Amino acid sequence: MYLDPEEEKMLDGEYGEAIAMAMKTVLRVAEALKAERLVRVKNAHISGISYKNIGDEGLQFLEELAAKGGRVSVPSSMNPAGLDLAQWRNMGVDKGYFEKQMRIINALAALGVKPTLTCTPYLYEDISYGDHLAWSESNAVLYANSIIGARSNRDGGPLALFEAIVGRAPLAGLHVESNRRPELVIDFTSVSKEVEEQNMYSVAGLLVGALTGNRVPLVRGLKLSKERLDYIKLFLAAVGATGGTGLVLIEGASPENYPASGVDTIEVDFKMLRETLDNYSGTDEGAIVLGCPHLSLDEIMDIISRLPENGTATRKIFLYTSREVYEALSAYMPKLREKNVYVFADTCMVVSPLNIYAGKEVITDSGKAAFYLKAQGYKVKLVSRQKAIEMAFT
Amino acid sequence: MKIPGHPVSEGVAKAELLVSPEPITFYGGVDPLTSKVTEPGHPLYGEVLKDRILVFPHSKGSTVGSYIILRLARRGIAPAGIVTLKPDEVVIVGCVIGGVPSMTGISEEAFNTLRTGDKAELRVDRNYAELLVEEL
Repeated sequence: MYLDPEEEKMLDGEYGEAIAMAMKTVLRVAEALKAERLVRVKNAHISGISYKNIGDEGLQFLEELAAKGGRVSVPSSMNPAGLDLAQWRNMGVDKGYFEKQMRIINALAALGVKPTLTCTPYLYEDISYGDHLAWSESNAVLYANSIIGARSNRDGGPLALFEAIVGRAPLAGLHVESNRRPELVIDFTSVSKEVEEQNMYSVAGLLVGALTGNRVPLVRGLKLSKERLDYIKLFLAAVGATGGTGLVLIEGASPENYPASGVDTIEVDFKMLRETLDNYSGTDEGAIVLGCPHLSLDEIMDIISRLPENGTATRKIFLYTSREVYEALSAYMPKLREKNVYVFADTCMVVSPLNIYAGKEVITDSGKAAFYLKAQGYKVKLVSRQKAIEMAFT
Repeated sequence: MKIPGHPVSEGVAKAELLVSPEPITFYGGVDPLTSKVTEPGHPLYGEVLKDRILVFPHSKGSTVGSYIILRLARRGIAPAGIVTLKPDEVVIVGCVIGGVPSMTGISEEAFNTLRTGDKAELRVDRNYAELLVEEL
């Protein structure tokens, strides 16, 4: 594999141990992916932030890297943490957990990563069509590739960090245009109306992920457009939960157009959607959890506009978003709490101790949250956002 | 039988194979404290990965998966080795930072001959990787 003189120096340890270790790891990945060279990246997004997920072992790993003098060389953002940094006491989180979480965030901050703590960097970072990125977090990678037309592989959290340190990623996978072409067609035309009317975009996403595996699919017949960011976010996040692909070409929403000739077509019928949804029938009990991926400001304003003028929710509604959106909404918080609606920043239902503050039965509109919470032993009911709000006010 | 592959993470492992026909989700699908597969409905549900050479097509799901491999490794309950059909970064980085011997890119034909319980030795160095499976 070709390395330029600068990259050789990084590998040889001329810039210190952390950069050498980062370059060695990036090279191993590049070799395994049969890349001919590395490509410079513009931006990085680092997952693997939650103490609940990475544990003492991950914490040690990050502190070791910071102690070796590691530092990112491109703008880099952080995925959500295991708690809300300001309201952690309301989440039933103990002080020991809080302190461990802060050590992880501080180790990453020492490495130069901005503590944005959101899974939706595509709403905040300066990225555009054709940019090469070192992103982790499957929903973010899927959005960047599929909707913006930027180029990122589905990096693991530590790989994205190593790529951010060396400022480069292997020129392989979705960084290469010839790998961005459709390998199969998934056609929703015959159920397009039902998906739209019953808001089944999370279900459609879970199905696409399961059908496509690691292949790049062309999705046809869904009424997804950039104007419905809420649907696109739910759809792509669900694809990322059940599938391994980092790119979904969506007719009508993706900027890239390639002919889909000579590939198989799968026609989706309503039975396939129904069977997917039946995995998440849960119970009608429990709290409502919305915000996987993190809600945008527009989405939260839309939810607020759908709450009944009078009355209080009969069960708790938890909304998850970025710190930036939370602060923009601060004037609404007292009114929302009166309605039994609680907004958390920096974290989400999947990575915070949900069972402590919400119990083991929940209702969500997110196929991704449903998939991961079910795997953690929760009883999860997957419904549309509108239906979830209605259930809370009856 | 000798199955060649591409090196991912250096090392040697001698153990029984645990073969999954389906992709594996490490984050959410494997318990980092017990090494058990917890994804409901998965063909390996309930199996323990520790002390076995894990063979599967590729990983899926969250990229936090690399840290799950690291956690298993630092607790001494990681698979003895990992062999995959297709390379994916979650597995590669998890194996490199966790020090789990691993290779990828074995042929589909070879993959189909492997069975859970087969005794095997995985040998990976910088430029060379092979899985030696004991003949019955």
